[in-house]
Amino acid sequence: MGGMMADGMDRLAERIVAIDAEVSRLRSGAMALVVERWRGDAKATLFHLGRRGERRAMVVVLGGTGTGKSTLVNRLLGSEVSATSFRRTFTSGAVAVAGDDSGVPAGWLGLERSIAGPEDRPARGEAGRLVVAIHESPVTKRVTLVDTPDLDGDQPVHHAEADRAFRWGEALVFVVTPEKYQMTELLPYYRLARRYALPAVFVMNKCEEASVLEDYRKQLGERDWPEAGLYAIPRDDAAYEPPAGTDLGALRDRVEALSREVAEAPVEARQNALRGRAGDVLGRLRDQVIAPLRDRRRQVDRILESLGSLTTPLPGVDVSPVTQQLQRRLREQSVLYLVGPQRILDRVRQVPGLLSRLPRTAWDFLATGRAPAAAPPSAPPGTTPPDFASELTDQFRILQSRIDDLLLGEGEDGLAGADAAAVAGLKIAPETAARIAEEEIEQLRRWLEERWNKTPRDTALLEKVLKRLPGGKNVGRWSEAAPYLLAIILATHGAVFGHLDLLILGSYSLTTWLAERLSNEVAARTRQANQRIAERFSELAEAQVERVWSWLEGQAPTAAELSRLERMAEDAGDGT
Amino acid sequence: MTEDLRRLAREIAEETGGELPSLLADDAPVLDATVLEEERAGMYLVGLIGGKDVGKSALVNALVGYEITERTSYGPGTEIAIAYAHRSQAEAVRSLLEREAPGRHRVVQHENDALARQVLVDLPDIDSHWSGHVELTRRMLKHMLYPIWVQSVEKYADQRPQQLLELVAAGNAPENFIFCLNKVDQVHAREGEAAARELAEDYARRLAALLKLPERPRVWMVSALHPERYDLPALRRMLAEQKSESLVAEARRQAVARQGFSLARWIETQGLEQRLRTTERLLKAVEEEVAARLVAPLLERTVPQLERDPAYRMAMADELMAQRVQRWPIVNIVHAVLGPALSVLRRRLPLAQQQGLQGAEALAEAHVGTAGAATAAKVAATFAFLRQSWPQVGGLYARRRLWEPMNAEQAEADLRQRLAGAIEAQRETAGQLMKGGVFSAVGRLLLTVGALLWFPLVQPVLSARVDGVADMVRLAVSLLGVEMLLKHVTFLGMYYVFLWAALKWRTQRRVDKLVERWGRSGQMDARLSLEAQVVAWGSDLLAPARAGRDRLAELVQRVEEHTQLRGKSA
Repeated sequence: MGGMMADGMDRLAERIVAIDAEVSRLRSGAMALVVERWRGDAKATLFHLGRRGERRAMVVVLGGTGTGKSTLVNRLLGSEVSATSFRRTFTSGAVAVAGDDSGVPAGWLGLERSIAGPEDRPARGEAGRLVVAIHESPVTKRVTLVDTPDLDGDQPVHHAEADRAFRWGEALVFVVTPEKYQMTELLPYYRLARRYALPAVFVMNKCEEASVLEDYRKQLGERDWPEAGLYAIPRDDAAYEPPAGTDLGALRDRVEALSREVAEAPVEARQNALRGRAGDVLGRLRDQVIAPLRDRRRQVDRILESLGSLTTPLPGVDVSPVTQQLQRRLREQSVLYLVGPQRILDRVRQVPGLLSRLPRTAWDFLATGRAPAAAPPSAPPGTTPPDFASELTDQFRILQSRIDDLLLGEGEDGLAGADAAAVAGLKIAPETAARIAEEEIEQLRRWLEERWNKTPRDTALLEKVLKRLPGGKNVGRWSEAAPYLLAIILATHGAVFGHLDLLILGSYSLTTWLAERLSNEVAARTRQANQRIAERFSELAEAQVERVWSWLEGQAPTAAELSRLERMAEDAGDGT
Repeated sequence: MTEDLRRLAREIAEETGGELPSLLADDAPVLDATVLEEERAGMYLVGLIGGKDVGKSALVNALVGYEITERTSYGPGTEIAIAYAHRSQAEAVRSLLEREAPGRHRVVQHENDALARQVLVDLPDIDSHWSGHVELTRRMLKHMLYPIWVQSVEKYADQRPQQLLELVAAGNAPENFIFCLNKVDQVHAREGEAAARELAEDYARRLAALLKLPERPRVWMVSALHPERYDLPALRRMLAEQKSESLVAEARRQAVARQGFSLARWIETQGLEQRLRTTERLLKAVEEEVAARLVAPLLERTVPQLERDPAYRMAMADELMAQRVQRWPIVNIVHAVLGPALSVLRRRLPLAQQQGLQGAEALAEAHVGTAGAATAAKVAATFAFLRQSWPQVGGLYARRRLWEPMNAEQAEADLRQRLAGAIEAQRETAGQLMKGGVFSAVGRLLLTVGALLWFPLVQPVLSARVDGVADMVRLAVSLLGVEMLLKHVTFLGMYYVFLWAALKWRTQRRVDKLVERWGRSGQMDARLSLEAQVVAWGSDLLAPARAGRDRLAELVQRVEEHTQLRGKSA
């Protein structure tokens, strides 16, 4: 075996290992099963690339149900090692019969293995695991025989098990009967065995006449196996005698020689076969893994784009109805308001109402002898505070519905095969949005309660300053008179309003008005609460979108990853 | 009946978006409707179906008693349909075969009158790489009332024949099948008779599982090589007697029933009732949510608010007044002068009410679309909530996603239009009701032009005439005096303004009464009632869910009718 060849194959193996590692990192989402199957194939290819003509080849016996695979194995071994039955689809997993522990390479089939001891004989295969039976015989000294389940029965899981064994096999024994040699299930395996240069032996079991054998030989000739090693085993009750060199003894010799055939295959042919195998695996990677994942990526990208352009709805919450009452109450105590122009304007606005009520008031005064108490300012309509929590919840649900439309839309719109349950799992409970409002409103209420019986900031400050002066305590009560007093003083001082007077009055009004505005803590707090609700809501909405986003990202690898994988596959393919 | 059921199944598949039952596929190998409906007691076909080299031809020969078809044990084997038919049927059989298998058939005639209507057909295999074989067999299966399903001890568990059998059995009664296990002699020789029997049991078990039969079907253990052993003599006896016409008719009925049964079972698996129940619950939820969140607030707040809105009544009264005043000479001049003055006064109204005066549409918008209570936002919120709690809402409202702002706004526009339409209709109706005034044309003329003549001219002249000629002269002089002129003009001005005001007051009162009547009565014309419009709008929002429920309910009802029919006929 030339060092160069080994080098070439090692490089190929390294590349496939690298690709496999890359594939294992892919986020494949709903396609995980396909990816897993491919990785199984890749492992089988790596197994073949790593073989260096070992002493014993893995010989896999393939065939339809009832063709007598297990029986043939037993007859080759001369002992009941693999369980047989006249019932169909009896064997359900691979059974490897080796001469000793080293007969089955580690990790072969990529399945868990169980050893069938002498007490478990005859061993019966189980799906999803490899049963190993240690049995010494002239045959197992040279090869390891692997019995497989059927390829054509009514248990599809058997087909998968047999297919796996084929992928890992180094030499093959095809078993057919006169009834089954024309069935379609074996055809792809004939072709692949040829392509991978696997030494193959063909056995016509239950043979009754020479012409069937000849017809089979002809059929194999038409299917790339012109000089197939064809053997015949007569049916128990048939008088047919296979011609010399095609009977059981010859078959046993040939099977024993398979290891040598594998080991002594021409380097060139072996290399070509391995390249073909690697090429197939890489091709499958392209067709069955990369292409569908790329499609999925495209879908995901389209959805991500729509998701990105999804505008976060505004919470549309204004908490001022909650603070209105306190606002009024504090205002009435605020010195700056009382001495400012706003108060005068408010008074002026009340004049028409007072006038319109005047007859009534006068009548009442005459009738009862006292003026009616001023009606308490009735709350303007629509001031029952709206249910902020449910408003936020609604807005949040609208966002979620639009995300649903993106993900689960029918036809071209949605993500193919998106699981409604999985999507539902992505959702943040809408009650979280309600909690934002509840918490903020709660905080605001607490603040309101705290402020309720306090004097406004400006008044408190003024009172503190004036406390020392005599009568300073009453300044709040009389402060409303300040603008009028000022106007009167100015008027009496100048008799007519001069420019200076107007300037003084104007700047006085402006200053008090601005100062009142700026010191209005309720308005500031309201603004702050609104802002915080808006901020927290958009944070929540972003978190929701983010969650969907990362889930979507997990549904398909990035285009860059796929391109890199494809490049790696191409490089590896060029190498072959 | 089957035709109905077929149509029903297609409609159900369309409704649920699932796949059609295999029975309805275009190339399904199931008994053709034409074969089943043949009332005339024509021939019937008995055919051998089976895998490659299971011994169909050998069995046919063994059944007939001589070699009508060549036995092969290798190679392509039987490649054509070989019919064994009575002389009288040969022509009919030939034309049938020519239709289904042009150039790939052969008819062997016999003279046995006892089998005049029975046609035995040997067919190619169904599982080899010769793809033309299975195709031919599948075509012939459409005519095969009595399939003999032949498998060998080796092949009975193969997958491909089982898949085909499942398709065939969906369209034919299991009673019409004859299941044969050929080559039992091989097992018998090697493993003993008990093993052969066990194998037949195993085959029957698999068949029962595959066809979902309550009990295992009879499996005829035969061996073509030993015509005198096992069940072959019995089978031959059975086939040597042709089935009576009534039996064939019965078999056809059973096949039809089986097709119906298959379809019915498929329909059952569609879970229509479950869907209907879900949709009904969903509809109820949608109804409740729409009523509670959308319709109720509109009825309780928006509509009364609109009716209380001065702009609503003012606009209506204005229009009526304009109509009415046209019939009043002179007063219309007063109206033309005072109207603009009134609109100056109206500038003092709040902005929303000023806008509401501009037209019905603007009025509706002012109430439906006001910020904070915007109906579009509520519609979107309601349906988003429904969408989240009922995933099916997404499908039902796929064409009208009301949780999307655009569609919600459209819904709001619809409501606006409905309300505006009702308001317009109210104005129109009010105008019509107003036409027949209390005052006739003569009265109106007397009150206006009459007053113009009477007060300044007729009355003074008359009173002067009573007093004498000298007074007449004095009157003529004083009439042309400034004092007299001013007095009359002032009085007449006051008089007409009073008339105008009275008219306006009456109109306003009339409008108030009308509005009250419309608001109060439920039995009013829906076109005029704002509340009825709101309710109609609400039910329009429910339309997609209702339509979905109705479609499902109709399907379920039809399914039920079919079930009852089947129950009766069974």
